[in-house]
Amino acid sequence: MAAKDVYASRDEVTKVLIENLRTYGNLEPPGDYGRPYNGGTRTYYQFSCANYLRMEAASRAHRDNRWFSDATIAEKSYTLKDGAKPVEIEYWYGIENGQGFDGSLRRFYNAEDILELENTLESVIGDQDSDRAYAQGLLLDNGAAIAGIEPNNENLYHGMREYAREQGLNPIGEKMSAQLFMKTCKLSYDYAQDPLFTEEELQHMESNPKILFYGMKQANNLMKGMLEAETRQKQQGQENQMPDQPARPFAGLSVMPLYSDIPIPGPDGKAYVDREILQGEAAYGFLVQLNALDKERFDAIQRGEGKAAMAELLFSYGSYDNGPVPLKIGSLELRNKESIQEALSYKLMNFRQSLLADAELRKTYLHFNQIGTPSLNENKLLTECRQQLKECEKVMARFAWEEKRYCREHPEIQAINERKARTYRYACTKEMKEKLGEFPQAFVLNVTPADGKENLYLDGLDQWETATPAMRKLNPMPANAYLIETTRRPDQLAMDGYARKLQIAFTLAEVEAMEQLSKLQLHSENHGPVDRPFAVPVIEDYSGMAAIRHLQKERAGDARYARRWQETGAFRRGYRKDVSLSLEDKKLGACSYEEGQGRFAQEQYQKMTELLGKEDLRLQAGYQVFQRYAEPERSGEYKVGNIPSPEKRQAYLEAQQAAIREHRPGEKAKSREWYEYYASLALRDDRNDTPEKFQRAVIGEMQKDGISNRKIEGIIKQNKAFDKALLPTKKAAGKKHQAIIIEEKEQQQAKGKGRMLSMRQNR
Amino acid sequence: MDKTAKEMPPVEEILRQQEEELCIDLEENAILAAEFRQAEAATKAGES
Repeated sequence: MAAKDVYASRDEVTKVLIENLRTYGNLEPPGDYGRPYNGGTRTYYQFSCANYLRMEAASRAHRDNRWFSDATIAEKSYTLKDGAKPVEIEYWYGIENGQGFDGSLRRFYNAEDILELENTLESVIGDQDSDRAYAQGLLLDNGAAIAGIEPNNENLYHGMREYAREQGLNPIGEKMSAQLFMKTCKLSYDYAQDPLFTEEELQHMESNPKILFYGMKQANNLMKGMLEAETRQKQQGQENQMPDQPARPFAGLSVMPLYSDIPIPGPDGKAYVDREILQGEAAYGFLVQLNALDKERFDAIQRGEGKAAMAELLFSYGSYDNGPVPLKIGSLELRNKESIQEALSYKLMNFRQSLLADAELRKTYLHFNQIGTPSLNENKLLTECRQQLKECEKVMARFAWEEKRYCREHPEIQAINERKARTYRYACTKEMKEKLGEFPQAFVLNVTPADGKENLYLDGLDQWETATPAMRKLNPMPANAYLIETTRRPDQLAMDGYARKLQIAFTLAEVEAMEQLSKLQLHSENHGPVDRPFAVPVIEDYSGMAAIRHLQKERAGDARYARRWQETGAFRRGYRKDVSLSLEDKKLGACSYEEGQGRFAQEQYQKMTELLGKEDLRLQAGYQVFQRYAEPERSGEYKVGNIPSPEKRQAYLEAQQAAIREHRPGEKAKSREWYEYYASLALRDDRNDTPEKFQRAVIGEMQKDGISNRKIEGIIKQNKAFDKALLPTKKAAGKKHQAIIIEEKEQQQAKGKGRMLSMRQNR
Repeated sequence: MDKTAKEMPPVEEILRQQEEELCIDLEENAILAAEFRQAEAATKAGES
């Protein structure tokens, strides 16, 4: 057969195809998924270019895409069924050496027409989610601008046409590309509704039969390039999978945790190991846990527990390799999002976006990075940033699609993602928003117009705590205001300079709770230290939030003293206080404590605040509102672990007593020195928690030392607060008592000697 | 030398032009050619 015969047969094929295009809007009737391929050779290849069109023109909806050449059929001794219709496939001799060549046609038969392949039907199901994901991946990997578009068949078809147009294909090539793309991805398109070609174009083709083949050649080149790019990526260590297999979730996603200050618990509770490479689904699982931990930690920090922890990980997905991603767990750098794609996109893109936007930042960046890479300059940096951002956007669009699909099948993961941290909401008027411009993304998570669905009431950032809402009317949220979600407490935002620009948006329930809290009364009596009590107690009264604030201050003060004497050795007996809480006229409860013992911080504060919930749930809610919005009182200081335990305190005091005894004043010491000596000993006994107990203890110590009553009287004159009625009577301090003391001393000495003896014997 | 080079375009260029004109995929064509050459060789061997 000569080349001209092959060409002549192409014109016949074109006629059939144009007829099909008129009838179905497509090269073939609907219902046929996937591309035909040669089932007989070892190398898998799909018919392309002229041969693809020849297959399409055969226009029989075969359910099997395998085709076998007459040569293969002869070789394998296959039997053809009656009425088997071949498709003529062209191939060209002698073309490899670039000299003369000639065309030839060979017959190919479908697997359905071969008797021996009767029960081996490989039916092709198309229009699956995995097919769409594959198509989307192909487009994204080749830089098509379809990021963020829902990957349905229609969008993918038009996405491909757009891509072909961008690549410089003519309208025929563009449409052929989209047709070939959809076939390759096993996707259908409603060509009856939206035919490939107009009647005008079809008529043009009829008079120029080569146009269709030339268009297909263009389409094939484009498609081949796209598939090769995909194959290259697969070879670069990506997940290797055939397009006709359902895609494994998050194929090509790779994450490696480098380090973390706190353990990141896995789904089974076991912490992730540093430097372990996680891939695919496992990598996604890690990101889910990380996002959840970021939110949990944030909430804990707001409660005054712990602080943000540093972590770092490596992230790559498909062709995109981000490198190290540093992260402060607990700072909501993942932005309190319900999807990992949204959580990560900001983190991955933010720095490069800032580099593009901020010339100063670029300068600093170049200053530090040119040392290692002298060839780096501003233009190069800008180009790199843009490229990386484009790449990142592309893969994240794919990630979003994968994630949506995955979470639909895994509601338990979806539930974890949906858990939100308790962030803060503020209102900003329309005018103020225009004045302020862009909010800093570092701590402003969301800016949305108020939808009016929720009743919100506004209060100033620095006013809400000073006057409770019962005293002044709060303004409702204006309809045209904006709702700002941030990670900052009111006091922090005020420090950032937003004091008069934003207002806290309280819910109605929060306002009601705060109103109830404003009825709370606290009465405090300060009796002074145990050794020098105040003649008249100092009385303080607080109400509402100020009462809670007072309790928190007391808690922090108690913890601070308790820690100080342990850490520095400085010792001081604190003030003794009686505190009571009441709601209007009803007393809720009371407690007594001495500052610095650590008991108030450890137990009593909690008991006092629990009284609120026992009495009235709104009161408790009010307390929670306060806790949430108010600046925590020296967070961490009152944490249980930071306060010495009673046992530790006891041991410490006993050691101090022993040290004091070693420095007993000499016989000729003055009364003042003697008083300080005995008072110090008595003060270091926790059990002396009232002035009376303390004074009795001082006298007791002196009596133990055999000090005469007269001398005792002289010594206690040093403290004017001393109650003279406690002085021992002459009878009590008589010779008999002294004799007892001497006897005790002798016994102790004898014990000491006995111990010495036994030690010697042991040697 | 230069003249000859101009008169004789490189083989790759000729191949590219042929591929365009022919509307074929060279890789596919090579696979097909191998398949049929083999088959023809086998037939010939059978005949002889």
